[in-house]
Amino acid sequence: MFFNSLDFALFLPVVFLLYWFIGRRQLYVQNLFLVLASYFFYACWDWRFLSLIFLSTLVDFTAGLALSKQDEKWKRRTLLWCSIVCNVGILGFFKYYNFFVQTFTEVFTLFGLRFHLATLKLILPVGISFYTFQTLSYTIDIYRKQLKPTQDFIAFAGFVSFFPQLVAGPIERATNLLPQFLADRTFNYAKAVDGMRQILWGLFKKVVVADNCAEVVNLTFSHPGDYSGSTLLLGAVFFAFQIYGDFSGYSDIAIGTARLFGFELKQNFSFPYFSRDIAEFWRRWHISLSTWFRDYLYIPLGGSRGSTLNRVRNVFIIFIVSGFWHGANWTFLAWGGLHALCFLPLLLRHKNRVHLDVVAKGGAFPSPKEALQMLLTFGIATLAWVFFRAESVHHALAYLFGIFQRSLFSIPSLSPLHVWVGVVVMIIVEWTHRDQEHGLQLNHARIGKPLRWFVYILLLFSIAFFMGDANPFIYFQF
Amino acid sequence: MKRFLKNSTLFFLIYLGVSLIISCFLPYHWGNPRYSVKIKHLKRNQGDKYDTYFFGSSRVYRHIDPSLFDSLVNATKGQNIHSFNLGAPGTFPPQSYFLYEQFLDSELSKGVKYCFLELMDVANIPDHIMHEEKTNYWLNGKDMSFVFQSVISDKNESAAQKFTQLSVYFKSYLERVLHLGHFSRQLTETNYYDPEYLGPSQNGHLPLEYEIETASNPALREALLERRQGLEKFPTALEQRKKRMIAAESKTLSNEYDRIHQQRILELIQKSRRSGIQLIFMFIAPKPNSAYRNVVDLKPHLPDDQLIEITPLKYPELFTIENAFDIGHFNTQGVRLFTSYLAEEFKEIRDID
Repeated sequence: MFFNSLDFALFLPVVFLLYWFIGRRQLYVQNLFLVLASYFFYACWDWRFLSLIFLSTLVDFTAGLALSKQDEKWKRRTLLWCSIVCNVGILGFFKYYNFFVQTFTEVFTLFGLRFHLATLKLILPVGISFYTFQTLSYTIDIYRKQLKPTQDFIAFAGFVSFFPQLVAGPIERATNLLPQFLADRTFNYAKAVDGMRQILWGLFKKVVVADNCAEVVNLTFSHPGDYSGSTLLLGAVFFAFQIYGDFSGYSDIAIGTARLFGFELKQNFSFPYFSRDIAEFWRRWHISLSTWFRDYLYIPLGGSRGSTLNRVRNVFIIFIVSGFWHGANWTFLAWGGLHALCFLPLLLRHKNRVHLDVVAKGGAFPSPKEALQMLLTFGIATLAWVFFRAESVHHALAYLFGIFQRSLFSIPSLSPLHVWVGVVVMIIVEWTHRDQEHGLQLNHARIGKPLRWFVYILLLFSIAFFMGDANPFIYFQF
Repeated sequence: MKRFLKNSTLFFLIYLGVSLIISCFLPYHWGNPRYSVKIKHLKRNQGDKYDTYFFGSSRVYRHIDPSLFDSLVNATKGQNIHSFNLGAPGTFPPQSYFLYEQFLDSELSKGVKYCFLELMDVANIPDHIMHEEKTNYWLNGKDMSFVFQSVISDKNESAAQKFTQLSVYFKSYLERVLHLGHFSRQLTETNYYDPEYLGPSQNGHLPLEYEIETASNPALREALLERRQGLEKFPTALEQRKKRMIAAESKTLSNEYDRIHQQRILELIQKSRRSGIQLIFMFIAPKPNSAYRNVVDLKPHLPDDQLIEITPLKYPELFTIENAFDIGHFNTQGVRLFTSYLAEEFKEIRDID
């Protein structure tokens, strides 16, 4: 059940009404209902993998309780490792088994050795990378004594399986989401309306921007040899907007949906293409994942402290692991490595925390310097996205070589107007809201109700106009 | 909460109202491109007076050659018919009924003597075409009601199958009512016209073997080639299918049949009569699934003189690998044979010697 499908449009109001009316003022009933609704939501993809979610829930709930009763360090460490091995083991098996088998086989063959281990026909359970990291953070936080374990299994199951963010994040921390499952929730009109707006904006980004960009991107990436350099460059630029519209659109719908149920999820995107350097880009792109890696990997490794060699190592580790998290393919490693290379000079020159505020704060337009910085950052991100989108490193390199030829200065052969219109509208709207949480956080004092409703209707029609088959979200495959 | 629900409902109603107004201003759009090309052709060439039309799925579109049919029927003294093939791939009941009724209400039905309509069960909508406009552009209240009643009364399907089928229809209907993904096609494809769809004789019949040679779209040619190769790889599949069809027809007839469907068919026959048209239903061997069995149970309850059957039970020599293009369609030789059997059956029920 995709967020951009009619199934979800029918599912959401039914669950919303039952949640607020049947479970009114009974937290336990509300939580139980949310768990059942979330399991149903997940079962629409593949009911068999519900067992994995349940197993993960059970393991970390038990590990959390056991950790709270243990004071001996080695026992606590053993419990933590049990949880890590179980969670990462399941994730590794489904996501990386075939990759490692193939890589080992190739390496052994390279040295003239015969090594044969059969690959398996594995289906990657939807959302496994997301909920695994979420449950891991719970156990690690308890181990670090930053969080007290919950005794309420249903609330914990709700935290793990909460349907708005179950399949593609944002990756929530137990410190943020779990207390919300344990406290009474009341309906808040302003929050719910803002949630609806965020859903609408997320759908616009997905259906109007991302799916239309995908038409051009699929053509250029499937036959790069058939297109001029300028068309390939445009394909790469459209992919940058596609993946942003797709994933940030998903996150907006998730956060907006959660708001309808009285939950506040973490912001996952903060207008990353308005970043002035790669460090700022990574503070604004997939925030829940990058902060997860920062807190549970980068800082424990020593972070930006220690010798230069250590800092370089840590940066490479975090970016490579981040790339690898996306999938078992060398292209993701190359993508992570490229970002690490662009980030390192900033870190080593202590310039990685220069741009902490929004660009052109208080002004309507950026300064020429800021505009140039944003353009450069966007350019770097776009070229790195080529690796992310390509089937293989060879494919990515062929695509990049295809861009940088004389035909780069020709007129692109693919440049549909409707795709540009969607992209430009998104850029303008997000630029004007870059100090807000999402692109449609309208100021009621400045914009009257008739105009607001006109905007909503206009957006809804543009979504209906382009809606057809519900295209899957890119991040579902991770 | 009340305010939120009130505003949400109001917003939804505004959306519905505006989309209704927009759709009123946009030209009528056919979601079935091959059918729409044929209708456009007929309207542009009003001088070609046809008095016989064939309606149905690809089994009609690909198998009935109107020129051959006319020559075979007109060979009999006193007969002079001129037919046109209005079949289009994937056009199953109730879409075919909707199209036929629309035809009856149009100028094109004037002076028509005979119409042939393929007899099939109410179609299941497969997932992969659920969101296609072709699947739902024709859905209206009347046909939704027919589908719901027919599916609910179906004795051959489990409750889960019925629920799935009805929910797909319901969602498809909602997509149409909410105009999800429709406006863009309405604006961009209104003037769509591809004469290739009319076939070599421009009479609506496009044989698969001809299309494979002449289609300008390479992807389409490739897809057709794959279908043909599919049969070449598994030639026994055709024989198995034939056996299943014969077995389904040979079973003792069930007393239970789809009365809702029967009623709909009788209504169509009556409506045709009022327009001076004799409507003839053709049972021409669709997929041998439970839907096939439903039609086998239904057909004894339809008027004899308005039903033609060309099935493996009756014409086993037709359903052989020599006459097949793919598992469900005939090659040129098969088409000739099929059309001639159809002409014979037609003469028989018309009592023409």
